[in-house]
Amino acid sequence: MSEEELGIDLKNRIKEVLSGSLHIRHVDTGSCNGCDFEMATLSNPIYDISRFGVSFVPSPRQADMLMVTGGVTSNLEKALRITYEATPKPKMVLAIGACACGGGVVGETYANAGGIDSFVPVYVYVPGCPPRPQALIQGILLALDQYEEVLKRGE
Amino acid sequence: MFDMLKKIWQVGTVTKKQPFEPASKKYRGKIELIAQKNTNWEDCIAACPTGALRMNVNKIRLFHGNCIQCGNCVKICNTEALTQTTDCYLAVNAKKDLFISVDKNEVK
Repeated sequence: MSEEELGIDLKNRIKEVLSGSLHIRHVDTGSCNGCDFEMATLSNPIYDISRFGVSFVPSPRQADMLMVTGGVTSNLEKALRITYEATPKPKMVLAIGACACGGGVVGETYANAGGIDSFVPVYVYVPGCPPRPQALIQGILLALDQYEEVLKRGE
Repeated sequence: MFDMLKKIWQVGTVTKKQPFEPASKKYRGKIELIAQKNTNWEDCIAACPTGALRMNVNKIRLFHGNCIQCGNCVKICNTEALTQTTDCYLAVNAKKDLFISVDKNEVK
């Protein structure tokens, strides 16, 4: 079996798998933990995102989606790049919070990059300081729409 | 065991269905920008702690990627040009959708 066929098989498998569930890896690149708490809220009984088939995983190698919080500090630049490379293709990246979208309170300084889009391609921006869990769910749904198109194009 | 079952019966289902109910009235959500005459734009821009609100010659620009929805500009604004809603659904696909810009002296 050639490499391409393997890839096509894998793609079909991913399609099959993703129609069932979505695995998210959380990447903290120097946030104040406000957005992280809102993300933790997603899996509590009130919002219970597991009923949609979404779960948080401990490793980027198992993840379909990266949720990045915080404007990238110079220390965590490398960590973000490594995490992005470790995630299997096709991968989605969500920018959560004002810091990840465009700097927010911290802004662009020598220590803070002010937005993650200069390092990794971003699917969906979810601004807010912090965004409500509802907004995060809306962001995930928006990303999935785009993801479906990407899968159809076969990238 | 019975204590647990009793508690389950007392608490009932807490999981909320989509669409979720709107945020409470005091929730500080999306800032809406509508151009109006005789607005003290300079004061509003000075009040913004993150530089989300800016002026470019005759254009006022609000960048939601920087806005932390503190409402300082709304407090200082002397007209209805800046209003705070309870809308929290701000997610967009492209960064250009986060920019809102209006003409300074537009009448609506």
